[in-house]
Amino acid sequence: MPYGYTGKILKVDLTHRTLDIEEQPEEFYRKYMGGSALNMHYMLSEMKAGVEPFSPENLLCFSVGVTTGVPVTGMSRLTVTAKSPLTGCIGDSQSGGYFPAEMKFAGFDAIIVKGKADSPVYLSLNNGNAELRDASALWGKETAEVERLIRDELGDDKIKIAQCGPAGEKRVRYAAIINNANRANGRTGMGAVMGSKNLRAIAVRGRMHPEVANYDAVKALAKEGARRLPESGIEPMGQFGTASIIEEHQECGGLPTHNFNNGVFDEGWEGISSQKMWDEYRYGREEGKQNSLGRASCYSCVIRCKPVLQITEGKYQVDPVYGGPEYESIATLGSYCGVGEMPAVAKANQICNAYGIDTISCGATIAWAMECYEAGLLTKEQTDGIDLRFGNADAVVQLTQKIADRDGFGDILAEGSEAASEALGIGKDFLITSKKMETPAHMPQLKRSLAVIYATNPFGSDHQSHEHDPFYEGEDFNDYKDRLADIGLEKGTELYDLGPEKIRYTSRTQQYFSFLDSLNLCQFAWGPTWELFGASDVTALLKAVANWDVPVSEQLEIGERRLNMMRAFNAREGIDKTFDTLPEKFFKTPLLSGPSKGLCLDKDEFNNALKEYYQQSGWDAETGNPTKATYHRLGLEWVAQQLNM
Amino acid sequence: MPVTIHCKGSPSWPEKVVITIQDGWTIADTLQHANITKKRHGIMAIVNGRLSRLSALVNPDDEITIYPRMGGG
Repeated sequence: MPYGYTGKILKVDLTHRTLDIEEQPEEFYRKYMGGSALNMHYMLSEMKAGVEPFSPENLLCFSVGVTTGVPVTGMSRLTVTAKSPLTGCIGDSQSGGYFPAEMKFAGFDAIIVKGKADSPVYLSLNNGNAELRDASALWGKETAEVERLIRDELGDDKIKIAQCGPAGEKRVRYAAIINNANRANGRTGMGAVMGSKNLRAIAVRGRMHPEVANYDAVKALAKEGARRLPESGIEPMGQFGTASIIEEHQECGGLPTHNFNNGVFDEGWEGISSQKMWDEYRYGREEGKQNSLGRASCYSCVIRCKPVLQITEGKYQVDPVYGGPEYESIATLGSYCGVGEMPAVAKANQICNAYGIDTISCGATIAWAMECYEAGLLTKEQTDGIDLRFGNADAVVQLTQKIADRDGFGDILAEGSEAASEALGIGKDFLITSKKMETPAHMPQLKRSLAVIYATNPFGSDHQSHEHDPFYEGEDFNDYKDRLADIGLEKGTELYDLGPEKIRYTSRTQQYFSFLDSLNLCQFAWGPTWELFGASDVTALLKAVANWDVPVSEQLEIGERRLNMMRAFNAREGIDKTFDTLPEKFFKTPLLSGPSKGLCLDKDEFNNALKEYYQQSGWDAETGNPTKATYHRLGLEWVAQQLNM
Repeated sequence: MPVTIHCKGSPSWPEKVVITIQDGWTIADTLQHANITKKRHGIMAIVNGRLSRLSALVNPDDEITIYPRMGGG
């Protein structure tokens, strides 16, 4: 009997409507841990190269991890992986909520979907049983309505549901998979792949809690997390949510504004700040109950960082069932577009959750169009009569809906900003994309290691793929020395450094985050510099849950294995280091005002940093792809063979 | 008038600092005089239960708790 994991992987063939269970040995789980690395095993071993993202042959993989569902903070994360219709590279995205834990309780570690159903279906998993059911009545409906209909049909209001929304049905290239109507596997268009398969939803329910090796030790870890929280730096982020980064970035000049032309939003930041959200828009504020009604949680989490908003008056009303915007959503739908009105941002966020759209790509694509419009490259006729200037809150809400519906100009933007730029023949200099994916709201002009991560990350620019620079810079590094020493980082660097030691930090923390996305642990609770749990606690966790002795070095190796598998997938598609680029704007356009005024990236420094990164990663200097020796070192001989190495 | 600053989440900070403020001091001024510094990503200050800018003025009865900002997310 395995500890922690169920040992069951569900293989779904939608074309033939077959459901099979595959059982993998303990070594398999120890090697990949679950999540993203487990998904990559299937993406490489069961899918040939050159498959189109919307082809039935594209795999769509859902995985939790060995420790998912254990009642400790940060243990309910889901990774979805497929070839991305936005980037053409590997696609990968994580979400939290209650669905991941419930999927484990329903009896499965992973769901590997191939084929395409000839009519809409949804998959129901319940206590080890799996069934495909008709979803014709769900097609075209918003996510909250679909949740209600499935629960009614199955007669259980505790069922958890992950689904593509109407935007996924319409193959918006950055469509998300939404669970609980407000948690998103947002990035890389996984919802569009799900929609292309006519798979509208996955519903999970069960009581098959896996056994753990030492339940007393698990309980002790849970208690320790609760004990540490009040004295940690993460407590106020629980209350104010990631939205508090608005204030932080405004203060340091790192709040992307007007499509990344500025690092401060002086005229509008206050209207989209976390304090404003708390005072005026959190659910329960009228009775002073923001702390209970206005905050939501993931399964068994003490941080409780999810905002819940309710707006019942005014032009933009917001339903708490759709949660509330996180920092990324507030910035991309807000400051990127020059919008400083929380109700409009919250409404656009609600549309994204109701229709299943990635808020980052959506907001950034609208911001790109706004800059084109301001520069006179787009006319009102082209934008369906919308006055697309920065600061027009109504325009952001209208365009978000038009993207969701693929209506008029929204249909062009639903392809992503880079495809829109190509189709219209405009605005190439205004793009903020890497590998065709829109850049999230952390500025590499200030946090230089992000330049390397945005450029090289196998699934496009991503802000949750490594630890950000401030923890390793200047005297502040002293506060994180002990924690970072766990993963072999002991030196620190100067401010804005991008030399070999910073690259070591970048690469090492990337490997660790890559591991976290494989075991599927929340980075806010388990990130290497965050304060609730650290890398040595993960060793204790895996001993308590799975009875495995997994030293930090092995955790890093698992993360490195996942990264190299992703890079191998891209190599099979002909994607090499020539795709590891940054938006030209980051080099050419100094930031306009505030504390970051004048900052931009230096191309020579960036290119040198890339060389150093490839070298430290064990990747070929000419191609940027992993070498045969690297694959062999990571136990990926079969991948090297597949690549004829 | 003395003000107490409670410090959390940063090993290099004391548990709390009591400092006498002068008229017109902001939170940033007060922290500087108390020799409490932090990276450019800065400090999150909760004053009387509200998230405050560091440029806000300090009042004698203020309850101030500070945390390091975490940066990601």
